[in-house]
Amino acid sequence: MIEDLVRESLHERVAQPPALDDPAGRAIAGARTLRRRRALVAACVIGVAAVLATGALTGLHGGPHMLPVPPASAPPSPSLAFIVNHSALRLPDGRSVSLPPSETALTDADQVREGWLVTGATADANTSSLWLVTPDAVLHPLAQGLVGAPAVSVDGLWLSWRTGTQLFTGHLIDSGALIVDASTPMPDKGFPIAVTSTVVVLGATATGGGIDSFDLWLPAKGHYVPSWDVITTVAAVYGPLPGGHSLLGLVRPAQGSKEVCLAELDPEASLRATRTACNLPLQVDPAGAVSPDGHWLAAVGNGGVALIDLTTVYDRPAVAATWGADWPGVWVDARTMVVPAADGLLGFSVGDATPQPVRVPGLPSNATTTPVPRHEPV
Amino acid sequence: MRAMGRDPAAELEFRDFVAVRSGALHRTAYLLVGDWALAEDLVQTALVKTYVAWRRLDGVAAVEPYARKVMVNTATAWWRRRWRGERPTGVLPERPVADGSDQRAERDRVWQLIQALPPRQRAVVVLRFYEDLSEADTARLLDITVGTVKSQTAKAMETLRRQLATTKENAR
Repeated sequence: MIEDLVRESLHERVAQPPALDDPAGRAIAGARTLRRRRALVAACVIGVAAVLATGALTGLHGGPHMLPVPPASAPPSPSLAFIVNHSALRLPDGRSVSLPPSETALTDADQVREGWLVTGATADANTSSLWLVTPDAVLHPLAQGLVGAPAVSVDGLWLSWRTGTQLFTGHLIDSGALIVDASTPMPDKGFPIAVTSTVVVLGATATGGGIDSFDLWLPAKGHYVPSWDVITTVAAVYGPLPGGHSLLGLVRPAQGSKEVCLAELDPEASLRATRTACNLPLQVDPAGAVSPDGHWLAAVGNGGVALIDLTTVYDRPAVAATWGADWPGVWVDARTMVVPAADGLLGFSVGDATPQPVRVPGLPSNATTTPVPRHEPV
Repeated sequence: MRAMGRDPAAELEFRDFVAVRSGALHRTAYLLVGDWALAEDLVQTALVKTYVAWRRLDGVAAVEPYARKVMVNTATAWWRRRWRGERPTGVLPERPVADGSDQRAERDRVWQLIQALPPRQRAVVVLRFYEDLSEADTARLLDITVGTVKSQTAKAMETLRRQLATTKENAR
């Protein structure tokens, strides 16, 4: 019988498989890269002057050499929020908010004017839930069945998310409700990776190893029409620049080229590169964060996080410094970034490549602590 | 922003799972893509996604089906990307058989024909006849109906049967 032949043939083909080389270790390393890619596609952090004024991360704004470990009795940090152990949001005032037991993990958070947008992983492996934590530490459900976390505009005013075969844009109102501004069928692949007031940037992965194709939806022009083959030279999108009119990303000089150039991308012109800077040691990885004043980019480079001066790079392509970290974190002011590392949080400052340990008051040093990016109107 | 950090307990559980099951996943991956190096890439892709989802998966029993599902779907996506536009040939060229064994030659021919099946049919064949999954489990894993599993299986078997007969004819 043909069925028996098929069985025998299949079993015979795999009788002697070659050995795999540390598949678990490589997968764990790969998962970290994937998380980084997902994490920072829209993470251009903005407007954290208040952090300095209120002494956000204790001692951080005094410069890297003035980063004291706060005493155990230090008051709670009044500025940044943190995801703690993938399960709770620690608010700047020290209060902690957890998702209901129906959610298996707290995967993403973004600070916006109305509070903190929080994404939870549901028991269904393919969907997420979206919540708002208001400043009074109350949790409000916003949406269910999302494909991943929403994209949040650089000013925090606009959101885009996908549920099932529908793509949405919307905004929060003062009461904490999520208002849908536009929606469109989206039967094909993809999910929003960045959003501005007029454009939703979509990303998709063919291999599961990172976002490798891009598309756009302009809600003002009607329903989304898939055209994944139009944008052929964009290799990565870091996210919107302050102001939200341009995006920052990597482009290839020609389709299929291995070289990549840093580029400002026009979201309303099929991500056309309006300015480029080539010959920079940047890796094709969308983990990149722009300082709140738009002066500095911290992105995954060769051998660490490449710090790039965006005010000069297009005239004189160069890396200002390489920070000893695997990936960029969250800017806490125009010159200082907090990076989650294996052994805790590290602070890096422009002008000094030596990292300093950063402690968040009230949290055990062995907690997995991830700073939450802030999105604020310019 | 997604959580990024180490979780030693999860890492340990994950390493245990991989130590026990990666060999089986690797074999299935090979049958889906037909190349050991590609199969290794496929396993790695599946394991990366499985580790990312580790905390969301409801117990160890859910892990392997999840990894397998990622693997099958990824293999299909790869197929679409790498071989888009190509069609299986009506008749595969006859290959010389080294050991002269008719049975061995027949199994080799069957394997060649399986590799030429459309990706979804090939996945159904691998899951049904190598993994010995039921029609219902195969349907669940592929996100298709049991009826589709039946029809895809029937089509695949008919193709294999017909082309095997043709290659035998050509060999005479």
